[in-house]
Amino acid sequence: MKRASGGDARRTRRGSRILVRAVLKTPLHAVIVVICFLWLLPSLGLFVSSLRPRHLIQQSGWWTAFETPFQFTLDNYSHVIESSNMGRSFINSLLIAVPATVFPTVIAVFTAYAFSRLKFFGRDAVFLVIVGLLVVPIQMTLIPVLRVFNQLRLTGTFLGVWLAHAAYGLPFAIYLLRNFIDELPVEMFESAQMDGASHFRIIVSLVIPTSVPALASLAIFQFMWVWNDLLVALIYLGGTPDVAPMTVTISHLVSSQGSGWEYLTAAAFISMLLPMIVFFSLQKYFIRGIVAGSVKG
Amino acid sequence: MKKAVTVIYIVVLSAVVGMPACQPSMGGKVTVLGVWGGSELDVFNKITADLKKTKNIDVEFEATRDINAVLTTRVESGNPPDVAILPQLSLVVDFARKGKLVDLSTLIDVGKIKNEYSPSWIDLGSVDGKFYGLFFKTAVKGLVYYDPQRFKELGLQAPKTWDEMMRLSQKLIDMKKTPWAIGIESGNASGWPATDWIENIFVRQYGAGPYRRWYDGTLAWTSPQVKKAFQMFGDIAARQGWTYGGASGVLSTAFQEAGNPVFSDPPKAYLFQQASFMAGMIEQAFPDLKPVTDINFFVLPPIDPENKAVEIGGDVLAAFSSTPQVKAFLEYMSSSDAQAPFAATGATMPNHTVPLSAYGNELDREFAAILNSADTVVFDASDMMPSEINAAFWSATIDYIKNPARLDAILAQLEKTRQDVYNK
Repeated sequence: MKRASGGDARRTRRGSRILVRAVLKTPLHAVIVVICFLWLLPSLGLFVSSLRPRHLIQQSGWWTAFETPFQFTLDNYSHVIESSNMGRSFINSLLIAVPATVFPTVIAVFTAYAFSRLKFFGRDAVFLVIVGLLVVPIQMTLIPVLRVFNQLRLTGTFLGVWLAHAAYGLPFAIYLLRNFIDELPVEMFESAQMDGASHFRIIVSLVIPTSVPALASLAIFQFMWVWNDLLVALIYLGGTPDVAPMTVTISHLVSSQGSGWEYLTAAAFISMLLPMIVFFSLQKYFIRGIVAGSVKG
Repeated sequence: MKKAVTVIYIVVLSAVVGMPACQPSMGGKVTVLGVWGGSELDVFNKITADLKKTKNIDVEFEATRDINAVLTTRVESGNPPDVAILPQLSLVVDFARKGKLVDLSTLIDVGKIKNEYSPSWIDLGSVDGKFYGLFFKTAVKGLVYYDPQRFKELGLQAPKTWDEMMRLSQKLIDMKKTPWAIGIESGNASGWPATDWIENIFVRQYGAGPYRRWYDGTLAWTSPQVKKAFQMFGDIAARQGWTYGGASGVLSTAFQEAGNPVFSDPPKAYLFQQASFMAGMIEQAFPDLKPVTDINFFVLPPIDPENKAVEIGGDVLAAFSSTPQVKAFLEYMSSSDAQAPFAATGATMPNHTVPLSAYGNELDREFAAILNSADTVVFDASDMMPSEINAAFWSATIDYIKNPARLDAILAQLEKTRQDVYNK
């Protein structure tokens, strides 16, 4: 840090202005740090617990881990990784989550474009119904959909669970993207049409490249929801080892009387890994995309 | 065209080659839905691997801890598993009355089961005179764990009657110590450990007959019997200074960890009531404890000496289809061969031909002995009640510990739930 010395009064003034601003902002920063700390505390406790030996997790709180003698171990992690079927279910989770993210995102782009740019009979009514579907609780649909799936022999197949996840994700996806496409400048579409571009061409060459922030945040939402989903997988896919995703296999770590829950601490971090990677790699789009469709101008 | 011929040729060839491999045994598969996980699931996979070897039957196990919702959804939508492993007898009753379950006496050799199971198991598993539920893995309820070393230091002895137990608690109070460790938190099933207390008190006070009327829904919750059972529980659990952590400790402590204060060093409490499966969990949390010398138990002592019944909880097998594979699976599961490996995990098995040597340690053997010598076995009453009443009972115990003075209002609310359910 360079101190203002000698006659350069202007620099001194600027220096003190920065200082004043820093002092004024200190309370704000302090509040942010405190909130972040409180927010992260449970995760921190979970993380510390996951590194403690089993009997200590059961006997005492995680904060006692910082007392000497230190007793840390990776046993919980190795148990989870080595437990039967964890590798297979990681693959299963990917096999479910990737198509169940791609399908609704792609379908939603085309649908949202239609709702935004095409004029057809009953457009607003259909859109209203789709928005209305946002508030239908998923539990209401389980039995009727499962009956249909049984007839079509889709129960227990990946195709069935892709369809289910796509359908549950679509109302929100269409709603988000339609509002985003609405904001795109009309001139852009008009000039494309004048150049003779088809709708398909407009979507592929114009809409998709300009909606990357919205698409990325949508993909993150959908991926996280599918990755963390237990209910849909359990109902439509079942818990048999060859199709069970990680959420189902992790829930098998605990016995019916609740013993073995200490492994969940490690399992939580293992299953968090991939969503974290997805989130951080798409983060810069996410920040821009989170306000997608919120301001209509 | 040539391609098609080749495909047909390959299909036929593989069918012919594949056939002899599965000829000597039955083949096929059984789908099973249950609540097991962790070590239970490991053992189950081990014993079903044997079934694969001897009969070539594949057992596909699906586990969920929310069996109530998942099974109901699957049954309603016409996609039930072949066999369900149910922790609540009320579900067996439900599905049996709806005509979804197979009467096991038409499927398996009940004579053999009658030789190896005591008659109470068949009675408990029967609904309206038909045999639907085959008990598999059970736990004895209403056991009080303590540390014999600490008892010796303080000159205390395991009580023989309820009054002795209350005097023992008072003695500990007089020594400025906390007698009881109680914790009833268990996620969305919070309160069930308290219902176990009340049920054990009820059956010791009034016997198996009124107990049955209570869970059958013919005894009012506002009856003096139920009220007395709540009050006797409250005399321990809701009494100032009698429980570690007081009322808020009781309500917020997870049942899995509730016994820790008894075995920690120094101890913070001296008595802890739970089922037999808890012994293994305590031994895991405190690996240095030696069974019998450092951790022992007594059965909650009798109140009215006339009424001797052992309360149990457990998992019951029920069949939704009657294929030969289901028959083979159920007969295997009822046998000592399938049950002995589970005995080693700390479960108490209903087949009394399971040798005592199969149990993991001295405590587990004593649990089995209690079960085998019991005159009357009753099932956990709350798990016999319809789910709505069961859930209401769980949360009523929470309200009661929070505010014991509201007991009459709490019981009136439960009575209203009972009437709503039975008058539907």
